[in-house]
Amino acid sequence: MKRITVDPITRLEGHGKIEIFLNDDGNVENLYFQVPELRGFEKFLEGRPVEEVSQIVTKICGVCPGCHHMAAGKAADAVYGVTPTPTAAKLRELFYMAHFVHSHIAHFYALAAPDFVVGPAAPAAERNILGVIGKVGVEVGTEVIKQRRIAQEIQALLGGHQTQVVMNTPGGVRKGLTEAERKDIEEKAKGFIEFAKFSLNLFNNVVLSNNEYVDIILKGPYSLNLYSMGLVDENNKVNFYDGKVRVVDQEGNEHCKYSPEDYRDFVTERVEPWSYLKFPYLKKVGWKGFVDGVDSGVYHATPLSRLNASDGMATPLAQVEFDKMYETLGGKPVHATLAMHWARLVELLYSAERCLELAQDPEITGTDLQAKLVNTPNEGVGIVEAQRGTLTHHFWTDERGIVTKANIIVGTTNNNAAICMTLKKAAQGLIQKGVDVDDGILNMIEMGFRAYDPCFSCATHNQPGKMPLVVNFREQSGELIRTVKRD
Amino acid sequence: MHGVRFFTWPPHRCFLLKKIMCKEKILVLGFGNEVLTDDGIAVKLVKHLKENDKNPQIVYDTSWLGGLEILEYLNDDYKAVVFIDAIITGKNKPGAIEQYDLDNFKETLHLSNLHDSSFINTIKLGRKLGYKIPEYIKVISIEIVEDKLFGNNFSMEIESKYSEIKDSVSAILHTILETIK
Repeated sequence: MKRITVDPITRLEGHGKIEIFLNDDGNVENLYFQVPELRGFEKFLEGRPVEEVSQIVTKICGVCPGCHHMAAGKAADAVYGVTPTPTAAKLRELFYMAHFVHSHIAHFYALAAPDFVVGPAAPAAERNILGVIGKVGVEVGTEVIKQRRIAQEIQALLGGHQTQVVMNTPGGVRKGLTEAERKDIEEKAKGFIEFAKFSLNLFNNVVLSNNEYVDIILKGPYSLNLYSMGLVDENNKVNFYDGKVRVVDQEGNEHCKYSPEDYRDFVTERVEPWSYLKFPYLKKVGWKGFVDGVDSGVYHATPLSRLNASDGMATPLAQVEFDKMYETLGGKPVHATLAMHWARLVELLYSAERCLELAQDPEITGTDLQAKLVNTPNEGVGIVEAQRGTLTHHFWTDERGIVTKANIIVGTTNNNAAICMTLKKAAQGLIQKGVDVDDGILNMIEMGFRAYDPCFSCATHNQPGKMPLVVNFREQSGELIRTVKRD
Repeated sequence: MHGVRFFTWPPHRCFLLKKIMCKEKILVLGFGNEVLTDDGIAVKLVKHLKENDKNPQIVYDTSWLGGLEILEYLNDDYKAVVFIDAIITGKNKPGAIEQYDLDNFKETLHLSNLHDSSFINTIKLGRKLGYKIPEYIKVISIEIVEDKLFGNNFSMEIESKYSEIKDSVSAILHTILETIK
């Protein structure tokens, strides 16, 4: 097969680009997925005081600024060798749970639901949030927007702004919570729980009761046998804000569990000549190519992998849904990629319950907001779960706390190899000789990576509400046969 | 001051008052990321316009992300809304300005959001859900050069044209104000 080298200086116009190589039979032999990458954020941080970095990194991405703020805030804590006060840690986590609520609601109703509520091969003009509202009703649509907005209001209250978050400072937070604000959040959190329960019911009634959809989830060309990664607490329960990173193998056995500062002993990154993004993999297993299985170091870091890597959820209602999901899908771990949508809803319920727990915690209105900084700043790592994967921020500073070097592994980057493999598998399953590649086929391929909720906003941001795709079909010689484009 | 009572509006009347006042105003929303070289041109532009334009009929605001986020700005019953955003077509000269309505909308960098909804679908959704979205909607795009490199300053091409871009956009806004009267 002809080797294709992509000149990284060549600009793509913001489209995702897929190169499909066909074999002599006209079937898919190989597939390469490329997304243009933002350049230079780590360099941009050099020379900045580490106290400011958690605010600066909110500029990486408009979709998950809270995630970057939290990871950078925790890294700054580590740079100073300080543990935030209990009140500060709880306020951060409360903000973060609201951030998860808003994001997961938006993803499920705007991106996942159209494929299942409207149908994967439905006309593109209907396969969106409007189509979903058309099926489930305006009242539900109003509630979606309302709950999302309420979550963002909580983010703005705690974070200083819903996107340009300013709450963190090394060792703590800048602002506390009054009793009146606490009560207000408490009531709103109860609303989140009810809406999360409603959303899970909707998934049950529309998706799980439809055998065709269950078949797509369980038998569709999307599943991969990968290692699963996620952050867990001391009881191995899912935690988005703090804990250790745990990785389990294809059978659910623990492969490793590490503290943030040790991440480089377990994860490393590979560069491919045809890709703008790196490919992290498990160091001790090694890189064996774009293959799955226990001997391949490729892993995924997603809502499904977080649940796979844990022993359960830390809140009661979410735990019930966790058990139901695994019972329905045949046990743990689950490797059906599209089950990520279900896992995401279980996480929505957990986030909502955790919001309520924190809002009812007596320490949440405490006034001890920042621990004293007594150590000379040096180096620190902060890890949180972003909605779309484990997010790592690593900063080195001089003795004044000025950043000299930075390394960031964003959530989606963890899944880069998995996304490529999912796409290839989907393409091989759906594109065959004699099959007309229409919009429905493209959408079913897109369902594969949409499940990951990839933050290509972190990589690119020319995204008109769906992934604009350029798909080039090539013969084995590399000669271009056909281009299918969707804007 | 002794003997003086200060009257304050109760919150619900402030809310209604704001809605009444907005009915005669246009909302100008600039989108972009200010640390991504030319990407934030609309945000910087709107901030500069706001500083210098004291016309009470124009409300200036900025955001980063489009999609469903847009609905958060559109429920105050404005007479018109103008979105300003960067675009990269590769077909126009840097700094070129174009205007679109909903009928001939061309995707700019931020008005749609991969993580939830496109711009057009967001407007349709808002109308379906009863948001007070004005009939008059205009999108102003500015052709830029660099949007993948982190930096506080514009590219040389955009920097050299920025003053002209600002004046052109300001003129467009005042023309719109006259049109909708």
